[in-house]
Amino acid sequence: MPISLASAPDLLAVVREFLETDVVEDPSISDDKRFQIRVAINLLATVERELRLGPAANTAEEDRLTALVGAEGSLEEKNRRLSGAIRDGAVASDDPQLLDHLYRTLVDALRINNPKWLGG
Amino acid sequence: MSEPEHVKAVKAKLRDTVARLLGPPGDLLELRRLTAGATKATWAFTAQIGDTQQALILQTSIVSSRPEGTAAKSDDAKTAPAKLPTLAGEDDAAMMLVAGKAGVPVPQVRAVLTADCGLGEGCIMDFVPGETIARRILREPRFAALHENFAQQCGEILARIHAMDQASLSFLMPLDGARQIALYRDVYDSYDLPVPALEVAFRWAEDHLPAVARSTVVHGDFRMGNLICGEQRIHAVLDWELACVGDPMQDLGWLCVKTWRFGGVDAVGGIGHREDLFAAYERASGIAVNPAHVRFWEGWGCVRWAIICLIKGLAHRSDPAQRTVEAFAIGRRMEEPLFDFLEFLREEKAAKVCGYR
Repeated sequence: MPISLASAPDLLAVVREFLETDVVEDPSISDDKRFQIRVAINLLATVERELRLGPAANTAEEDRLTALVGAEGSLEEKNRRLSGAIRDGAVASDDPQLLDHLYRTLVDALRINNPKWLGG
Repeated sequence: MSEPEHVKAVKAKLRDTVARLLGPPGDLLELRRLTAGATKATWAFTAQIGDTQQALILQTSIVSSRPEGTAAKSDDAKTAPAKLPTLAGEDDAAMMLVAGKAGVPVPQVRAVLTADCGLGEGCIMDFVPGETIARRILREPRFAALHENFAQQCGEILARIHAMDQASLSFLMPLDGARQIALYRDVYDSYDLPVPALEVAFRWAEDHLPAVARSTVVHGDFRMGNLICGEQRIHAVLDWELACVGDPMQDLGWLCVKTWRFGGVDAVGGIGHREDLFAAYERASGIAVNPAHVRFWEGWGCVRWAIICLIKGLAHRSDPAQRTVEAFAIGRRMEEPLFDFLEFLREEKAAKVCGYR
């Protein structure tokens, strides 16, 4: 793609800021709508974080999955393999390496979806 | 500002319904949609009935319930996502009527909607003043007195719910722990979405399910957010659509799930202590509470909420009406309870090592 202004993260940010400053405070908006706009603002912020943090999180997840269930296939296929292995007992559900992987994966997901959940 | 068409449509039908079921003229002085409730449409309104103006609530189901209250597993499970059984319409209203008789604070049901009302399934209830929004209940100083005895009140109310007469609620699904876990696993499987953390969680639940001593009426969604709170007391218990017959301790555990603490520190809705909840329940019911048993249901509660997030987040695939920012946002919350579940496992492990359990 040729250079287009502005960048995708900037577009998202400016739409979010517009909603935050000009729309959500509009007194003519019903409480119901205002709530939905707040949710929409949060979703835009989530996408902004995903653009920033998603690629590294996916790479790290895939590396850990490779160590657990092998390198073959896509990220989803590896997750499918791991899920199957837990279900049929090939990987113990209290395996420390597994639990460490799940923990890191969920932390990375929460950094995108809701960083406040992690506290501090 | 002109009213949207769907509001106009509700208004016309509601006026006729009020006039017919509660008394003429039924004129609506105010009608506004409340935000609370992702599975139900809730409207607050004031109606002229005879000489009085009455503050009322209209509640209608958005999600269609399964026919005959059947179990989620069916032959079409491979093509359509399995659903959780939910009460709607008449059954939901019947729950509140029986609960009220058992001394549970509930809104007074004034009329059950019939098909010819054209408003869907649901009922009209008295408006109960108070607050349901957890953020406000947790943070506004005017609720200080409520904070003092919130856990105790929850214990007393739950004891009354668990004493409700099952015989008069024959539509309630028997859903003991094993069936519940199997049901939620079926729902998860029907999406064909591999989530390794959920695999671990289901395995843990199947391995740690406590033996059940009692089977009672269970509210199924008793938590902060579904309780109308005054500054001193809980005024009403709402959202009965997940009620079933099963292990009563699940209601105590669900109430303590971290999601329902809304950022508060304390286990019971963010503002109360487990010890106070258990002590009040024991006093009111005469039945001993085993904290480890409740703790299982708290752990399972994380799994259950994760599955509900999954259902809501993907509901748009089968129901275009669920293509909303709210539903999509709930889908993105699935990792919260899964993370909490791993923390729960760590705490359980540490507790075992310390030998207190």
